[in-house]
Amino acid sequence: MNFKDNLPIYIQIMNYIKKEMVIRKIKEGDKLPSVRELSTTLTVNPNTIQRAYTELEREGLVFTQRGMGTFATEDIEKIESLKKDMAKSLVDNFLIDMQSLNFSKEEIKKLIDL
Amino acid sequence: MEDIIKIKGITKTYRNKRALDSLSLNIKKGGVIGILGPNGSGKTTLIKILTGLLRPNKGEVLIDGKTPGTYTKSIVSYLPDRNFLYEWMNIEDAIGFFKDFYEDFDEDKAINLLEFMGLNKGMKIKELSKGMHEKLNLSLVLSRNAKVYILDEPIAGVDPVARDQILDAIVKNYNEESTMIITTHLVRDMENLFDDVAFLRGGTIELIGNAETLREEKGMQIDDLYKEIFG
Amino acid sequence: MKKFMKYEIKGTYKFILGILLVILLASSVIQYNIFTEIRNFEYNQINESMNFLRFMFVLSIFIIFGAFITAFFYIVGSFKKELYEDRGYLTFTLPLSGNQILGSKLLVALMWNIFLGISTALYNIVLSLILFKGEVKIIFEEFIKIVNIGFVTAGITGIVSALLTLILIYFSISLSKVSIRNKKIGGMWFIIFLIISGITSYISSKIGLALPYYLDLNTFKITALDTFPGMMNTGMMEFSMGMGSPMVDGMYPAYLNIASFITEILFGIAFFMGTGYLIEERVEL
Repeated sequence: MNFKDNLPIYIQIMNYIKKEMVIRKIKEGDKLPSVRELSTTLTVNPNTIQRAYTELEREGLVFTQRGMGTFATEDIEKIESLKKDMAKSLVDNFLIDMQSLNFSKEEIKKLIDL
Repeated sequence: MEDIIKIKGITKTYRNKRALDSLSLNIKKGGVIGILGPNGSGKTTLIKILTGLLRPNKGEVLIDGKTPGTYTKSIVSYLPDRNFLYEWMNIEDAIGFFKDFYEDFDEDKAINLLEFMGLNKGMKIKELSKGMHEKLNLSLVLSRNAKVYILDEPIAGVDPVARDQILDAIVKNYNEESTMIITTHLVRDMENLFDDVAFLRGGTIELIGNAETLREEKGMQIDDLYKEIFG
Repeated sequence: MKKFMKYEIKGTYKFILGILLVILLASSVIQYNIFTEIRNFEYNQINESMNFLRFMFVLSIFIIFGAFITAFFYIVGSFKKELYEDRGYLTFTLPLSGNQILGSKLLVALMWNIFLGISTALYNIVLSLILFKGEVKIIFEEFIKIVNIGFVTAGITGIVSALLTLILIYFSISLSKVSIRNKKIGGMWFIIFLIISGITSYISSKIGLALPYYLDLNTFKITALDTFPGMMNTGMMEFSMGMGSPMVDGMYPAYLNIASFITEILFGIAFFMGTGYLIEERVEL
C-alpha cells in the first residue's frame, strides 16, 4: 500500500479497508487484523491505525468486541450502500475530469459504450 | 497528557556558530515525534543535549522532571548516528554490557530482535558493515523498556533491505507508554511512523504539529511539506 | 562501578597480556645472558656467539623499557579514546557519574601497572632461582636485606605516586579536551601535564622544606632531618631511598617527608574531583 495521496494516512487506510469490504475480500462479520498487526504490515504508527478503526466504527462499518478485536459489520445493506457511494464518487470524479477536458455528456456516453 | 520532556529556550553556540537558538519544545508522554530538518539544522545538537553529551549555554531541559544526568540516562535509550559500541566486543559482549548497565534491558527481546535482523551472537563489532551496525545498535536500544527512546538518523546510509527491517523493528517494538523521538532527513521513508512532527531550521522550530492534521490542513504529505519548507 | 571495571578489564586484558609476554621473553634473554656470561667467565671461554648474546642482552633491555612505555601509553590512550572517539557516546550515556567512570578507569589502570610490575619481578626471581641455583646465594642475601618493611612501604609509596601521576594525566587530558576543541593539537595534554606537575612538585617540595619532618619507613618513627642523604625526587613524590648511604642496623634507610606527602595526596584528591567534574559537567562530544 502506497500513501501518495494528499489525504491523511488514516483516511487512506479507511478507504483501503472499505474497498476490501466492498470487493468481499473482507466478508461481513470477518475479524479485521489487530491494530498491531496492521501497523506492522503497513509500517504505520499504531495510533494512526487506531484512528482509522475508530472512524470506521463511527461510520458503522466495523464494530469492536472487548477483548476479541475489531470485526466487519454484518449488515449487508450497509456494505451495498457503501459500494454505491464509492461508485458514485468515482463517477462524479470521472465526470468532473471529463468535463474539464470539454467532453459533452453525449461524447462521454459514446466513449463508455466502447 | 503530561509532558515527559520540557525544553525551555535553549541556546547552544560552538565558537561563533549558533547551533540552537532559544529553542523551546514540549514533548508529551507516549507517541512518536519526528524531528525533521536538513543537515546543520540543529537536530543532532538538540539530541546530544537531551542525552547529556552536550550542555546548553542558555535555557533549561527537563526529562521526567530532571535535568540530564545519571537519572535521565537510566530512562533514555539512545541510538547515536555512529557506532558507539566498544571495538573489542562481539555481539554477545554487547548484550551483556546492556544487561549489566540498564535495569530496563530485556535480554529475550534483544535475542529475538537480533534473530529478526539476521545477526548472530558470535559476530565481532569490528567486522560489521554499516547496515549491520545500525541493525545491532537499534536492536540493543529497542530492547530496553525505556521511558524515552531517542533515535538519531536510524536509517541514514543503509541499504533498502536493512532500511525496511529497521522500520519494521521500530513499529513492532514501539509501545504506547513510551515516547520516541526520531530525527531524520529521509522524510518519505519515515513519515508514517510519526504522531507529531517538528521542522527544525537554523536552530529553532519552524513548524510543529500533529502529522495527520498537517496533512489535512496543507493537503499534502509530510515529505512534500518538508520539500516546500526546505526546498 | 564494579561492572564498568569488569568491561575495562575485558577490553584491555589481551593487550596487557601481550605486553607481559614480551617482557617475560626479554627478561628470559637477559637472565640467560648473565648466566652464560658468568659461566664463560668461570671457564675462561670467549667465543663468537658471545657478541650475539651481548647484542641480544642490550636489545632485550630496550624491549622491556619499550614494553612498559607502550603499556603506559595504552592505558593513558584508553582514557583519551573515551573523550575523542565514538565509544564515548556509549560511555557517557551510561547511568554512571563522572567520578564512577574516572574511578573505574583509574583503578583498572593502576591494577595493570601493579600486575605488570609484580609479574615481571616474580618471574625474574623464580627464573634466577632456577638458573643460578645455589651458586649466587650472595645476591639473594643482599636482596633479602632490601626486602624489609622499608622496601614494602616504599613500594606502596611508589604505587600511590603512580596513582597520583595517573590522576594528573587524566586531569590534563580532560582539561585539554574542554579547553581546545581542535583535534589536531593532540599532544596538548602532555604540555598541560608537564606544567601542572612542575607546579605541584614545586609547591610540595617547598612545603616539605618548610616542615622537615620525616617518617622513617623502616621504623615508622618520625624524625626531623636537616639534610637528606641520597634524596630521590620522583617528580610527584618526594621521598628518599638512601640507596647510596650506609646501612643502618643492616637496612638501607628510607624516609618520607610527611608534609609533602600529605600535600601530594591532597593534590591527588583535588585533581580527581576536578577530573570528575570536567567529565560530568564540561566535556562535550
